[in-house]
Amino acid sequence: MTPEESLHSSNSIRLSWREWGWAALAAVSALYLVPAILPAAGVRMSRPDYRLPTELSSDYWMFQRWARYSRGHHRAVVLGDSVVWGQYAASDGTLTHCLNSLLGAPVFANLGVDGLHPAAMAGMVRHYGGALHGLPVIVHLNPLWMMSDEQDLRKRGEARFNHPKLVAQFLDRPGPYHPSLGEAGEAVLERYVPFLRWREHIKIAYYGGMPLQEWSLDNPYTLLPDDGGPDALSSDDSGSPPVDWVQRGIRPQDAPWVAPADSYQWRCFTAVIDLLRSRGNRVFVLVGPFNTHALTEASRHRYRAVLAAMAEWLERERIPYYAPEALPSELYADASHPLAEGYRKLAEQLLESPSFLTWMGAWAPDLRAAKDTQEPSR
Amino acid sequence: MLFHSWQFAAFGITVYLVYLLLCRTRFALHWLLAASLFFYGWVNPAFVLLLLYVVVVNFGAGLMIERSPRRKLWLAGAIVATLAPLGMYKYSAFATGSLNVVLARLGWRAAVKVPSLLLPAGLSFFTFGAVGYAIDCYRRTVKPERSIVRLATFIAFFPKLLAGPIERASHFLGQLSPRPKRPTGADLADGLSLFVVGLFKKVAIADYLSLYVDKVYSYPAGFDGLTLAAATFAFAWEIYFDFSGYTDMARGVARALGFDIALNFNNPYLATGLGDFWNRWHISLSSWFKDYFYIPLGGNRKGKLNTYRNMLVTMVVSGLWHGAAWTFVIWGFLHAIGRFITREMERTRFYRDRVPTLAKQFWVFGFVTFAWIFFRASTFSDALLIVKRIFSAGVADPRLPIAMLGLCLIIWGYQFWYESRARRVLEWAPVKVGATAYMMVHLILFAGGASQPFVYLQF
Repeated sequence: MTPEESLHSSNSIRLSWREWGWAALAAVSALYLVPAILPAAGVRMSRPDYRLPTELSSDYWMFQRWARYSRGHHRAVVLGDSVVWGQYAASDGTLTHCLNSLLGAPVFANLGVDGLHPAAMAGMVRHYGGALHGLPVIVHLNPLWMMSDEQDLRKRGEARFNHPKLVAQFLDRPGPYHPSLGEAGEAVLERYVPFLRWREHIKIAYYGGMPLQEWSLDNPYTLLPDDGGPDALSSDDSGSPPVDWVQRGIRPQDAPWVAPADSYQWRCFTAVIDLLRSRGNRVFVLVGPFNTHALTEASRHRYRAVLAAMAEWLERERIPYYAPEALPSELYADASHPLAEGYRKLAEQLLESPSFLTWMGAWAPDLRAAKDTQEPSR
Repeated sequence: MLFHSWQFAAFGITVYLVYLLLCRTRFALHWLLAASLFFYGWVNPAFVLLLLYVVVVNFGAGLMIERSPRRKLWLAGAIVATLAPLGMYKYSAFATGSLNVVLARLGWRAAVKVPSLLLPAGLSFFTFGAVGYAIDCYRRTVKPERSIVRLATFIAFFPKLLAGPIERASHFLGQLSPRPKRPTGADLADGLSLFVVGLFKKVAIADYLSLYVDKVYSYPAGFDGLTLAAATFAFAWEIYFDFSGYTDMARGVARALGFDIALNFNNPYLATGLGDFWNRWHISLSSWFKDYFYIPLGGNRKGKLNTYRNMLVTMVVSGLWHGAAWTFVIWGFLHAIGRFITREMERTRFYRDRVPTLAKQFWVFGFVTFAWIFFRASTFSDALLIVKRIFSAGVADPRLPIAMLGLCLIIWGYQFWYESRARRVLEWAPVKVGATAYMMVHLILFAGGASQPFVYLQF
């Protein structure tokens, strides 16, 4: 067998450069067309008080889709972690529901994502939040992420944390994050190739987060799941029992806290604010309210110093914000998550807050006016 | 460094681009050698010394075989010195373990300490390439290489270093002399074509099949006969796609750099006899054993009995080459028996003329698949259990994923088609383009899991 003959033996496929060009074109077309052609999910998004089901927290294709939908159907959005999402509340007990209910219209969309710490939020907004440009945004800061070096992702070494694909992959990585070149490369590619995001969406939404190959071992005689998909997943009930933190047996912690000047998460949070402002978003920052009842006296003292430093930055940058005192102790489910009643109280406080009303009046004078007319009738 | 890794992508692109700049200079070989040593030292830099040792031994032996009147002695010295590390790393544990069993049977209490050495990747492959070079020098079919850099590049050439194909000096050294040719655009296109097919075989098929095979073979006692048979069928395809995928990628990388390395697989599961199978499976190894072991043993020159004895010894040693365990010895032995049977059957007119080719192909596939049980099973007792269950135990739902079965059958069908008169359809440009585009999309859609190492890297 000559080298030329052997090259084409044994099922090798030989393409010329021209054929390679056609093959690449066909492959790239498929990569863009398949996600567009296949049936789109998201029927549930039109339901009142929709929030991404927790199973889809890492489904950034779905987040992008929900952000696009929100842009068309809501006037403003609330960004944040599970505090915004409503970890211990049904979908009609969250902060956005309470705000909308008090305003009498579905003004705010709940873009809370479970575990979305500031470093991940920076990635989420930068890469998947483009549809939100120009919209009024309430950005929630959960101080929990600065409670300790571990939460702040400053500490070197190995530690698991949420949403590693959203954080910086090469420069300025979180301390405990050491991805292989392949992992980092894939995370970056996923941001720029929609097909890869869609692939992850299919995996998460239809195959329980498993690669199809592994899923097929458990389901050998089918390729498509009988049920499943994002529309089969409910986000109405959080699944977490609405019990307060004392009943859960949580004891006050002596959290050390990380000063904003040293904090990785705070730096990422300010990057989120800068990014949103550069995209023309009207930003309002809601800080906490953290459950200071669950802190020791010394830790509470340190927390107040952290809070003061944050407020100083927000004021210096002229960013409207609201950093309320802690809610009553019994309205918290843990260190940072309010219960449904806590959200109602927080929404009421927010709508009383001059900074919030001024901010809202700038982009929704009608809402502000309606709010003002409600006041005397109370 | 696995071919289907990001590290290799970065490494391969860098090597290729720098090589384009250097290939017309006298540094071309130096660059290829440096890249190969870097590639080999990626996991354990100390093993590079072993590689260099093999190079130095065979470089010196080649020159001495040419100059010295004691040519045979130099050849023997080279073979022993080259194979010594292989014996030490690969077989010392097996030998001492087996010795301990024998001693225990004899009632001897003192056990020999079983060494625990990490087998350097590719050792079996590059030592055989080097031994082949020394024998070729002795036979004067190859002129001893005067440049140690050139010989080192031949032995250590990174695309084939870890799992072959086992190149012949007569085929490869010429491509390095006096200087390698500059790779062309067509070489790159051909190399990419080979690489994509190999990547698809490995990532899309072999790694998928391994999920089922590993689950069943890791605990065979927990499965019924039909499931064990299904897993054995899946393993037959897993090992084919894994190893031929590796070879295609190796040949693709070499081709992109302008080199041709040997064909290693040629639709082996379409073989009509065991002899035919070994002309299609791991061709570079089987031809190495034929030329450097079977023929020196006497080949088929001294009557039927000696022929079969030589075949048996060759197949058993070939089995041992794959792994230092009794299961591999049995595997080699079974293949020898299979070769005797098919050889005798092929001598009958009935078998030659009346038995349909398809029936011969299925029988050979069935036999080879049966023998894989001994190749894949972790222990000899596991292998016996699997055989016993397959032929005696009850039948339960094997839960072999239809996607897995479908992929195997499609590729099998493709191979039948490829060897038929209708092959021209497969060479029609839209079919090739469509198949390549599909493979790329499939790889992107299903890639992303943890990379499985190649099965043959353990040998």
